[in-house]
Amino acid sequence: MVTARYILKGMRVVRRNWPLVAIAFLFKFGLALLFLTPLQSLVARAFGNHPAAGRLLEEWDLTPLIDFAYNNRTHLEQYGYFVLIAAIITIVLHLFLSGGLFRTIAFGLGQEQAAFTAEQFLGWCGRYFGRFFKIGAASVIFYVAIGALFIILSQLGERLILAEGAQGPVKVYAALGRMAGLLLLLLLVNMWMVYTKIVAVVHEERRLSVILGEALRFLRLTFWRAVSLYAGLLIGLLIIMGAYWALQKGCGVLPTSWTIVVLFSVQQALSLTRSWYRLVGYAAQTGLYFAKLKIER
Amino acid sequence: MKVRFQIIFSAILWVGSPLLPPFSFGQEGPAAPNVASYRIDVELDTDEKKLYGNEIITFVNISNTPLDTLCIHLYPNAFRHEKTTFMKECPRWYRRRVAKRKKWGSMEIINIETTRGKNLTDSKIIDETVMKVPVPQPLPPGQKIELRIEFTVTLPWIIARMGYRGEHYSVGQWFPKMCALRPDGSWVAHQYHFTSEFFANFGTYDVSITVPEGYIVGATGYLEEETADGGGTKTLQYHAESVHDFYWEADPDFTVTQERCGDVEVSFLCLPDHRRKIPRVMKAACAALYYYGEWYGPYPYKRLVITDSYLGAGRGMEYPMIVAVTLSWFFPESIRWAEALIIHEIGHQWWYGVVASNEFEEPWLDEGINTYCTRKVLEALYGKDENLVRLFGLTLSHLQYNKAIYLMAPKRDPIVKNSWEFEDFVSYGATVYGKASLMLETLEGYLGQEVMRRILRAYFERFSFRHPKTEDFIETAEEVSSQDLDRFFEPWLYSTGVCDYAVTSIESRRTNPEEGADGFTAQRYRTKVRVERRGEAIMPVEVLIELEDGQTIAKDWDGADRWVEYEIETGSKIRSAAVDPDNKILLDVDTNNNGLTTKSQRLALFKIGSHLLFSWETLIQWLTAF
Repeated sequence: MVTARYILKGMRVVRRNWPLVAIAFLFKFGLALLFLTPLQSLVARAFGNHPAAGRLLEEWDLTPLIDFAYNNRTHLEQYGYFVLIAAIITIVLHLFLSGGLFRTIAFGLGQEQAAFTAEQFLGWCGRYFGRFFKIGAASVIFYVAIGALFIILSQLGERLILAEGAQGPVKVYAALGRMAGLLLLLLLVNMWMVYTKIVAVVHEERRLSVILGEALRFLRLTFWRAVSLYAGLLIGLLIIMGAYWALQKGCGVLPTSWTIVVLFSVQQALSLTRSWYRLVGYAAQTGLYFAKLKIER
Repeated sequence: MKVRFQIIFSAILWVGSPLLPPFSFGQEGPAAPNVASYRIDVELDTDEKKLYGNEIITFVNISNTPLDTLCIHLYPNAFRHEKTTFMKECPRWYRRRVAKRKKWGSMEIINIETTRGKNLTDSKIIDETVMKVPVPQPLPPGQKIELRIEFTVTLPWIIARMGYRGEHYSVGQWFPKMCALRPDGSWVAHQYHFTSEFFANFGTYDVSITVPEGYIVGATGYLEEETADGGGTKTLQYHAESVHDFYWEADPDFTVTQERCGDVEVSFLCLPDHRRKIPRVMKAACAALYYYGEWYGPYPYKRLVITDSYLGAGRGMEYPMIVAVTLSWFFPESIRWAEALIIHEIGHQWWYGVVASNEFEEPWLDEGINTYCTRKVLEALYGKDENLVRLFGLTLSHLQYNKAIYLMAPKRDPIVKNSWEFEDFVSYGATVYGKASLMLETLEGYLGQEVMRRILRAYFERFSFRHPKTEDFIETAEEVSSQDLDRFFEPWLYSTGVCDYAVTSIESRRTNPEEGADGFTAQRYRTKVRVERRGEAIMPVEVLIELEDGQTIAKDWDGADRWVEYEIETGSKIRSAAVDPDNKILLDVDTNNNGLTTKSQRLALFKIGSHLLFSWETLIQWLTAF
């Protein structure tokens, strides 16, 4: 119930500040176009006038794709480097926008109308870029540390298991357990970083280490509520993905121009929904943080 | 230690498999010449990870010259340290991994003597994995010699089909084994190479294996006797005729499933992780025995063992009457990797086991042919398009998989080459498995499936328990198909060229209208189609021109020139043109340029673009989630 209340509250905030959804979606759409253009031109050159493209229209036939990959391997290698650079740019741009997004959400809570103007939004983006960049760097360090820890523990575990001569299901369950453990740790770090960003826009004057500590303190005090909210948001995301899966399967049945246009629309609608849903998640978590602050004060 | 025997009778799978009628082969026993026969007593010491063995080799000089030296393989010495030929040829990461464990293997020859009492221990010359033993007096053609050898093997941590992992023992290439003798008296005495498999003369094997009680053993041959020795060990006595190697595995946790597939008793020794896979493995095994038997010739033994193994080399390995496979617990039924693996390894009973070609020097003869045959069985069982993967709407056929393997290195090596002389392991796989099997698939495209089956059947019948070469295969193919196939085989077997035919331009231009007999004028077009040969390989091809009125015009081209241009008068504009429209040439490295249409494929491009755009949006969503 508490989870649902915060998610609904988040929805209201995002509805009032709907231009944020447009910004998040257009950011993603624009960069996706940038990523797509070189690849699409390669595809067009390979299949533009070849009957092989007709086969791809019917179904994802791998034969033309295998030949395409071999005959364009040099271009694809170059494209790989391009993707790497573009990915870094994407992350930096995202960090830039995050300051504005979080600040708008944080101060939009409890207000009856949109809480920002374009000038304000861009101003906040610039103002928080430095600290969001640091938070981004800290996240990378934490994720890498978790990964390294996972590898070390896995190897230790494997040695222990093999030393005891354990085989069969023990090994399988151990592998599954390890993967689940890693995923859980990564999600926990992810949750911690979201609250760090919220704290960063609420307490502007504090240093990064203090912000990280404050977010950690908040999580310690409201751990189960924060986790249930995070889990609720994740379940919602899975439902949205499931709905898309069913829709796109339906659209792929008859490859006519109409179904392809419908498929495109469904895909973009889902992309828009995911942008909206992420902001709802941020707003819900910000709401939870503010509720705790209110009690403390 | 749990020992479970799970006897599942053939009826379960047999009744449920309407595709597979009862067997009708395997009636008569095999009959190969006894060239190198072995009587071996071996004991497995699980504490020391060692084998203690005594063997008597009976070897017949089948050459036409007297022999003054005998050559013997000592394969385990390949794992003695990281400077052996085998280890030096490994990829660096693999060598490092093995070196890091420091659990090396080796073979020590303690004593060699003739059964007449002449000791040869001091005269032996060991060069890593090959030992030369001068004989007291030259062995005349047709005469035999008996050697008694005492040896120990230190088992490595599992590497290349040999060693231990926990309590599991995979024991291949474990005894001093005679090198194969050629008719001219020369030896096939190659070092053990990383990419190489094996080659030996046929013989009879009597092997008694002593293992701790509670261990379950799977081995080549027929189990004749099992006796408890007291003191916590047991001895198993195996007998095998007309085979050229002996492999065994031991593990206390094997689950044994037995089933009759026609006349053959199939045993599957399964590790505890993979019990769910038992029905799949048995179904694939029976299907392989059935189809190979039906198409190419009968399986000549009454027993076949499949072991679920740790191999340390690839995912599967074949030995006479036994195959070892490494299964994965997570592949669901829609990924038929296990089935493909089982079918492939069992197929080697035909192409390696019975038709015993030289795996050192002509690896394609078993791997290439068998990969082709594996595909035929998969296609018979699961259809042409999705016989390897059918998962979440994504399908992958064995043919597509092979094409991808081939395209990893299509022009680095010819097919016929010593296995260790390929550029690297990737090129070895791409050529021996990919290129060779696609070459046979292309040949099938030209000759038809029925003729192809007859060729392989004739090859099997002619060379059962013999050691054919590439020329023997070509000769058989030519004889059965009544065609000169030298031109077909030459570019693939002996050169590195690739095949690529492309339609490079199509156009139709109006000509002056023609007045018909009835006084009406009909619009005519001058249609031009240009086809190019961009690769080095030459194959005869068909060019198919399709007009807008639905009419098709077919042209045959010998494919020899670098280009050809067809100029024809047509009553309608051209719609498309395609070279090799039936996709017979599976070795064409770019089939996307085999056709050209006058209209742009905008809808398809939009669909692809739409999916790619959405994929990137999803990726960005994840990329910015942290």
